[in-house]
Amino acid sequence: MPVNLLDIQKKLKGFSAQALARREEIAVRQKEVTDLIQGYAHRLDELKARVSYAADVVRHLRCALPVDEPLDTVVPKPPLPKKFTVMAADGSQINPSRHARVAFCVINVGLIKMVRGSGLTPEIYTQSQLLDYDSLFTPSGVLISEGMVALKRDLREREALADLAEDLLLPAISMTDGPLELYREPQESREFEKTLDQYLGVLKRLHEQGLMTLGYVDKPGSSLIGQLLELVELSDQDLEAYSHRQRKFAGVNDVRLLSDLLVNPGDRSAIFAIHSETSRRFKGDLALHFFYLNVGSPGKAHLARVEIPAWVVCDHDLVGILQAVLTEQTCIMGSRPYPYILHRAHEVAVVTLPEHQHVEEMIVAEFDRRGISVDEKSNKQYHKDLDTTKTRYQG
Amino acid sequence: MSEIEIGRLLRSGTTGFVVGCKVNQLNAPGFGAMVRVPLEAQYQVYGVIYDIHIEDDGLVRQLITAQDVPEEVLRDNRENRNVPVEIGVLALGYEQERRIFHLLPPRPPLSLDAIFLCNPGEVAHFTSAGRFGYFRHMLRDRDKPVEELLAAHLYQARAAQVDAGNEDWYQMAVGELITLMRDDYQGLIKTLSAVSEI
Amino acid sequence: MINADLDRNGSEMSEQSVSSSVEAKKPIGYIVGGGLKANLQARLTVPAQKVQEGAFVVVESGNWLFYGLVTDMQLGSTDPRFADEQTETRLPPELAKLLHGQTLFTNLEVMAALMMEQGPDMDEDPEAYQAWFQKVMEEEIRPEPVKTVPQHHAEVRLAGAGDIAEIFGKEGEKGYFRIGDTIEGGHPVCVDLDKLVQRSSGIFGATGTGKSFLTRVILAGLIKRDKTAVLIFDMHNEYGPDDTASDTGMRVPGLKAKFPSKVRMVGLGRGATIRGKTPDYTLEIAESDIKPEDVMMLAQELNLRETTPTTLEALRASFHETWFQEFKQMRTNAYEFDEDGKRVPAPDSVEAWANEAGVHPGAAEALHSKLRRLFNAPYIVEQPAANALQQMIDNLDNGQHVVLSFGKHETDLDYLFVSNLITRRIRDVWEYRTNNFRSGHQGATEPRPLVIAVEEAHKLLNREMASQTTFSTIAREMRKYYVTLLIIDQRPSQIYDEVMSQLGTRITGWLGDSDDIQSVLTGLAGREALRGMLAHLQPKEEVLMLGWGVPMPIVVHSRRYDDAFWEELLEKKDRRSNRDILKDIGF
Repeated sequence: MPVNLLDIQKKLKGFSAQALARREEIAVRQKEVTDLIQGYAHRLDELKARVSYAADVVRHLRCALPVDEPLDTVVPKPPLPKKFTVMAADGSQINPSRHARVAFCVINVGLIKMVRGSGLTPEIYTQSQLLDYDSLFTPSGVLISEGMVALKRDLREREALADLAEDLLLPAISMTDGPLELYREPQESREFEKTLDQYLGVLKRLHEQGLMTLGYVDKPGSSLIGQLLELVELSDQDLEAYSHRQRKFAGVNDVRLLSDLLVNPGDRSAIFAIHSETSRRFKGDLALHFFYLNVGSPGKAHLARVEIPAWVVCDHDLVGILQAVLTEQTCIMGSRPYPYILHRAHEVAVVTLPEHQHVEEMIVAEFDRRGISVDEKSNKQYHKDLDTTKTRYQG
Repeated sequence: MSEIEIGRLLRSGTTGFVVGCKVNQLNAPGFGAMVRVPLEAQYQVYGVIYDIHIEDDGLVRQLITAQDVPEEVLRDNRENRNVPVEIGVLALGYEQERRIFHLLPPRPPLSLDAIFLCNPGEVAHFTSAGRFGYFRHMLRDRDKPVEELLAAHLYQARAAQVDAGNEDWYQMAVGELITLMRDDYQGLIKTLSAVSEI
Repeated sequence: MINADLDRNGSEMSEQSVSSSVEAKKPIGYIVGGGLKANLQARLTVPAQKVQEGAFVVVESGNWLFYGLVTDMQLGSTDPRFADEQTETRLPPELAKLLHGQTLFTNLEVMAALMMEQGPDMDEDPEAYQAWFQKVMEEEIRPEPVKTVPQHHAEVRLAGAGDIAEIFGKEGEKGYFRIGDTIEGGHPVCVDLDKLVQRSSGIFGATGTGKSFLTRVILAGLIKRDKTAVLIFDMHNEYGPDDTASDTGMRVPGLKAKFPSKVRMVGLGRGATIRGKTPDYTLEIAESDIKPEDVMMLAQELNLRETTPTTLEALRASFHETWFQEFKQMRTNAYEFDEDGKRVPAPDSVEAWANEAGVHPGAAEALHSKLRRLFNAPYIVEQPAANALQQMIDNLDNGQHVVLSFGKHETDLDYLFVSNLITRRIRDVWEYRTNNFRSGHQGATEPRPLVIAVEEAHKLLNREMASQTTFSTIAREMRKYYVTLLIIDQRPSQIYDEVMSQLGTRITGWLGDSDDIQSVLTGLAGREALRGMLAHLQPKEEVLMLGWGVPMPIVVHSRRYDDAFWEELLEKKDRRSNRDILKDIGF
């Protein structure tokens, strides 16, 4: 038996008692924060000033920054345009592995474009990219990290959208899964900087094409608003000692804070800017903003965070369209709301294990043809790959 | 006459095969329709569609829970998504060097072979060759909806035969069925009841 | 089938018969079972109504043809549920018809009677065909009794005219005489008259089944054939003179009118008229011709006592040939007084003779009293005006036929007495001549075969009489002395079964009584099958022919005894033989 259930059973009682105690603590804090939202709802300038001050004092400060809407703003879902374009891109990848017989990396991007109101079948595309062999290694000669590959993948997703954005029927919205902000380790690397520049270039292209772009964060755990309010609660001295590790409102996330506010499906929160070190790189029209959106059903709120660039925020109509479209997209998926189009892009993009093996075999075969030696897969990988399904005597 | 390709072969065996096609290709073939799979020059396998089913998946099940499904989403699911219609085909015989055999094909079709709907001329050609030997294959598997299959087949084949000028074919076919099934009272009566509705 | 081929080419073949022979070639079913002991079973493939019990069918199996009769028809189903469920209410008529066509069926029971080798295909092997044909012509290949069975699925078809002719002979040839037509197809069925008279035969049928018409037809045929002399005891004056049909009121021509020179009509008793007509001559019986046996035969009729034979024997001992005359003249209850004044029987009295002959006087007196009916019979005379009996014999000898009409003497007594007495006399003559002929006496010629037709035969041939009458002797002797019987009766069960079993050919109309049916079938194979056929005959129209004289039993639609019959019989030119016809068409 792989898990000793008896051992676990013994601890269950204490475990759940702890959970209960923690929940109670958080509930108390949450009440505090909720009160603060009410208190500071219209004191936006004070908050902005406080963030500005804190930014100089606190390293790696990351919090929401109010724009012009009161903190407790609730915007109901506006009507859906009759006709619009909605697009999504999603990527998946085969990471280079030192355990494999040959190092290679594939980034696969699935794209879907749907013109709502046209009655036409959505168009789907797949773009598969085998990364150059040289790009698989860092200057120090080791294989690039999975984080790096993910970064490249995120870039490819946006590039693919931009590539597809010719002659669009407007309004047009494109989306990707996850934040628009790139948040990857190792942030310092030169490669990251290079990729980020390319990324910002693509976002700019999308803006020029009039294609709204958004990042959709499902079940967000962030507490950007809580962190904003923490700043006003702390004294200047405390602020100096403020660290991520000892948070006043730990455990209180934004979703819990806003759930009581965004009651109706399609309701959105106020729009905030994101204050973070990375976000500073998103300047001007591309400055990163976000809002929360209730994509749930009546009586069952489900909040998602939506990240958008500043140029969209500036146009209230565009925000409204985006809000309505996103609500519709998530509604399509019924009881488990998630943008349909994003799911489809993921479906198109996903690389299955057999496909993975097939690509590997293609590469190995080509290497063989050219007389390039190929390693054995590592013993660890070999044993992992063993067929674990049981067979039965069929008599 | 233009050829109507209905899909490609997913898996096959001696007694039949399964064809996959996209939902948007589905308007062509119907239950009881005859199909053929050209395999090589002068050799093709004939069969009859006995089962059409459309598989679901997690997404489709999820979409069911939504209140409205926009037309574009509907089409996306039917036409783009990799959820094929599976069409079960019962092998009825084959044609080799222009001769029809009502025997099981010596070699089954291979993966991804294209499957075509038989046109009325081909239906008439196949069904009037020999003496209804292919009924054996239809009657073999009692787990299949044999009665319905026979009724659907007779309906379509009769029209083809009448077009070809064989007015008597239907009577002879029913006669042959009765001969083959007369020891199975229940089965025969069920079949005739089904046939009587065509 | 050579005859069918002939028919198609024969000049006298009508359009209709050509098409019906083609129709007959169509199979009506196929063999599914059976055997030599049991009948053959055939699955019917045409509607049951197209075939009837008694139908004559042909089974073609390889090189052999089997001829048989349909003796039963049974409804069957492949599964009882197909029969139980009224599927026609559930299915459209077209489907129901197809279903029933395969699951519900009728089985024919076929009594195979004959088989015959079939010739090779004329087109494929003309030489072999020719050889076979020659054998048929020479009668080397003939229908023979069934000794094997046809193959499974051998085709069964209704017999065509050719098949019937193959078996029963072709009308007009040799002694073949058309007795009627088959029920299906109406093909002529013949009886071989020459064979018919070789043994005694019988015509049966309940009253009103057209028995006497059929008898007329056969008698006319025999007279026309003219190879046999016919003596008819016409008890009810039906055959000689013209008659009126009891049911239709139509005039029925008699044999005398149609064969005036060949048929002699003889009346019984001097001055007799038959239906107002004077006979050719009359018959009187000389008292001296009467023998005690003739009286004994009337024992039942006259209610004679057990003592009668003794008395008769005593009479013959006393008076020899004149016994009847003497006895007739004796007085009864005649007494006189003798010299002593004692009352004694008169010398010419019965009692006086009895005393003298040592016979019990009471018995003698009783016999005398009982014979009074004979003594008073006007046709019994002491000295006939002419020897009519001899004349009858001469007539029969000379190619003429005699109808003895009983005129007004229609009692059983008259009939029994006269017919028996005459038959005995005639048979004696034929026996004598036969013996002379056989022993090679100089100048002795072969006697002309004689058929004696007797109506109400059971009166003469019942169990009690059979041992005593000449008729039963004739029946038993078959053709030994060139005399056979044609017995006509409505109650065959009353006829002694030993006599019945001797009958060669039996032609029977409908019989209601199961004993009668049983009796007609006495001594024949396949009685059970034939019994049903006999019981289901159409009265007045259909008759069953069976027995030794016909190749196989067959039901025929009997020939009508009407003007057309006579026209055909008397006007028809002589028909040609197969050989002649074949010669004409180039064989």
